[in-house]
Amino acid sequence: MTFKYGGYAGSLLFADLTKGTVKKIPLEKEWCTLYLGGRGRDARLLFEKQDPSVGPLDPEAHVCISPGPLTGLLGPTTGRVNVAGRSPLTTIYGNSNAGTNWGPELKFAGYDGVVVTGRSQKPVYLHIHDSDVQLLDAGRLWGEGVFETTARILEEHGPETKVAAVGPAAEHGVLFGSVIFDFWDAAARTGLGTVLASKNLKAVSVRGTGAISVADPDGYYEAAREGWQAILDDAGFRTGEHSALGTSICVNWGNAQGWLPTRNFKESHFEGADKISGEEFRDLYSTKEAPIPAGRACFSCPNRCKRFGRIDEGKYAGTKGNIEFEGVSAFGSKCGVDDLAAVFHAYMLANDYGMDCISCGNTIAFYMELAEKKLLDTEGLELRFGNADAMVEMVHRIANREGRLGELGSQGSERAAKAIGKGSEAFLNTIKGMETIACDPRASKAFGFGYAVSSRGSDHLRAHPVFEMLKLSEGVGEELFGSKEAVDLRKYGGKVRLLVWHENIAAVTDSLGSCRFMHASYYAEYPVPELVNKYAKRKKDPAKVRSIKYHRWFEAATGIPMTYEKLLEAGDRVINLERALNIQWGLKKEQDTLPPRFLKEPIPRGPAKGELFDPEKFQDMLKEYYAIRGWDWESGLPLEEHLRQLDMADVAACLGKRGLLATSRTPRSEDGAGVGSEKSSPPASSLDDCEERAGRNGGTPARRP
Amino acid sequence: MPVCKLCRARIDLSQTGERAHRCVKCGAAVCREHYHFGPNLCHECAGVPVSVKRRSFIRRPKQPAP
Repeated sequence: MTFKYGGYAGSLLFADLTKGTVKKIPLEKEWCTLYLGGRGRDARLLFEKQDPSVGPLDPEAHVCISPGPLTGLLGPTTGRVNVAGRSPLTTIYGNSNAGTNWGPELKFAGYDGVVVTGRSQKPVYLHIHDSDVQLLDAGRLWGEGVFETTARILEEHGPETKVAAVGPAAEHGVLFGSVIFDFWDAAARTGLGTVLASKNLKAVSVRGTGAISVADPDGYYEAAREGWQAILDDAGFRTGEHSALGTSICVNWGNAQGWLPTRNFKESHFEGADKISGEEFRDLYSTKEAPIPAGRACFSCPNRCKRFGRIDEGKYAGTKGNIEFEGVSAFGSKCGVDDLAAVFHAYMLANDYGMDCISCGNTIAFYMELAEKKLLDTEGLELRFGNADAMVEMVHRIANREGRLGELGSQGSERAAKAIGKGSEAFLNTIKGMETIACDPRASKAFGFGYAVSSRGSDHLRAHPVFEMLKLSEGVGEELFGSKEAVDLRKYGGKVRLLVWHENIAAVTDSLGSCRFMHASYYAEYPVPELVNKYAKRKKDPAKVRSIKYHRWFEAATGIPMTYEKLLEAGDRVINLERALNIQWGLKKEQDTLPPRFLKEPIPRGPAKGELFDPEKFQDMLKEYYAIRGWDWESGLPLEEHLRQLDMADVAACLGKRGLLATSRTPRSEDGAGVGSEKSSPPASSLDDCEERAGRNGGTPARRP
Repeated sequence: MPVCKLCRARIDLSQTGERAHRCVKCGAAVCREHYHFGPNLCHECAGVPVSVKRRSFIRRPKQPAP
C-alpha cells in the first residue's frame, strides 16, 4: 500500500550482498503509524524478515541502518540514526543509536533506511548518491582503520559525503565491533559492526542533495520552534556546562554522587576522577584556537556535546578525536587509570579499530581484577588497576585477537569468564552478555533496575532515567510517578513507573530520530518543565514555560494523527516487539537480573558507602514491571491480551505458533509449561510461516480504550 | 566546503571551532594541521616539512586473526 506522509522519504534500500543487488522497497504504512521509524521500524523489519534460526553472523542475518521521520528536519537534535540486528555478543536483539550527520544525508538522498543481508564474495562498500546506488570494491580498504577508511572514501567521493565504516576489529571477529559514522560517532553497543564485517561490507557512504517535505509546514515550524525554545530556556542548558564539557561532565558529577564505577565496579568513587574529568580534558586537550573549546555537533543540535581534542606532545602525541563519558569511564575509572592521555589514546584506538569502548574497557578491567585475585595468566603483562600501558596494550591485543587474553577478550568478558573458570564469573558485570555502562546500579536504583530489564543487555540508554539524579522537588516525583522517593537515587519507591515512562519515551525518541538529551532536556527542568516550575521556589510565568511535545512535532511533520498517550503506547509497542524478538532468540526470564556483585556486595566507600541493590526489592520491582509491560510473571513471555491491545495481533499469533506466548496471567502449572495451550504447538520457522501474517490487519485486534 | 590544500581533508565549517586558515602567501585554504600560526602561512610556504600521512595508531596483526 503506497502512502505519502511528510517526514518520511518513502522507501528503503534493500541490499543483498550475496546476489550483489540493491533494491528500493516502499515503506509500509504500518511501519510508520505503529512503529514510527528508526528503532521501532528496525525491530519490526527484523521480526518480519529474519528467520529466528538465523545466527547473528550467518549470511542471512539482516542489519538495518535507519534514521527516523524527524531525522534531517529543521528542529533540535534531529541527527540520530539507529543500527539494528541480532547481536553476536549477546545473541539477542541488538541495536545501537548514534548522533550523526549521516542519517540526515540518507534522508536527503531519498531513503528512510538501509537494510543489508547476504555476504559478498569480496570486500565491498555501498555508495549512495541520490538515486545512484552502487556496490564498490573495498579491497584496498580492508584491514584499514576506521579513520583511514573514512578519509579515503571522502577523497574518492568528495568531502560532503558521509561515511559509516567498520574497522579491523570487526573484520577480525571481535564480537563488539562498532559502526563508526564520520570518524567519531559510534553506534557501538551490541557489536553490529561485526555483523556488517561478516558480510564483507566495509562501509556505507552517502551523499544526498534532495529535500524532505513535512505535512504541515506552519504547524511543524511552531512545534520545532517550541522545542528549540524549550532547550534554550532550560536552566541546565543555560549553564553551558554540558556544551563546554560534553558528556564527560558526568565524571565529576558521578563521582560526587557516588555512582562512578571504579576498578571493575569494586567501588563507585574514584580518587583520580578530577584527572580524567571533562574539565581536565577541556584544559589540556581541547583545541585552543577556537573561540570556545572546540565541540562537534550532530545535525541541527544546539548543544555540541562532542568534545574534540588533540594531544600535541608526549608518547601519545598525534591522538585526536572526540570523547564521551562512557569511554572515559571504561578506560579510566573502571581500569583505575587516572592518566587522561592514556585514556584518550585508548579510546581513540578503540574507535579506530572499530570496537565498543565500553565492552573493551570493561573486559580489560575484568582482567585486571582477575589478575589481582591471581586467577589469570597475564602473558607477561603487568595487568593491575592503574597500569595505563597495560591497558593500551590490551586494546591492541583484543582488537587483533593476539594471544589467549586477546582471543578471549575479543569475545566479551562473559565468554572469557566461562573459558577462564576458577570462579571468575563472580567478578563479571554483564547482563544478558553485555558489559555494564558507567553508572553503578547499587548507587542509582532506577538506572540499575533498567539494566536488568533492558532489551539489549546491560544498558542505560534504554531508559536513561536521569530524573532520579537531579534532586528535584519531592512533589514532582509524587505527581509524576506516585512516590516522593522517585527523586532520590538511592531509594526504590516509584522507580518502576519512572523507568517504564523513561523506557517508553526513549523508544519513541530513538524511533523518531531525535536525541536522548532532548527528553532529558539538559538536566534541569526535566522531564516536565511545567511540573518542575510548579514546585520551584522561584516560579516562572506558566505561560512562558515551554516543553518539547513530540506528539505535536511528529503529527505536524508526518500528518499522522498523534496524541501524547498514543506516542507512549508506541514506545510500549516497540519494547514489547523487542521482547518478542528476544524471546524467539532464546532469552529466558532468569536473564532479567543483575550480576551477583550488585545484589550481594555493598559499596565499600565513598558517597554511596553501604549501598547495594536489595534482592527482595529487586524481585518486587520486577513483578511490578512485568505487570505494567504485560509479561507473564512465571515465564517472562508476553501476554497475548497485552499484545492485542497494542495492535500487535500478528506478533501474538506468530509467537503463539512458536509456543512463546502466554495466554493469561495464571500461575505456571506444575508441569512447568505455564505458557498457554500453544506451548505444545510446533514452532514455526519464520514469520512467513504464520498464516496470520498474510492477513495481519484482517483480524480484529482490540484497541486500548 | 573548503578543502585543505595539503591533505585534501574537508574543513567542516558547520562544526564549532572549525575554520579554514588562509595562507597569506599563496592564498590557499588549509586545515589547522597544516597552518603555521606564527607567520600565518601554510606549511608548504612556511617551509615546514609537509606530511600528509595520516596518523593511525592501530597495530597490524602479527598473523591473520582466526
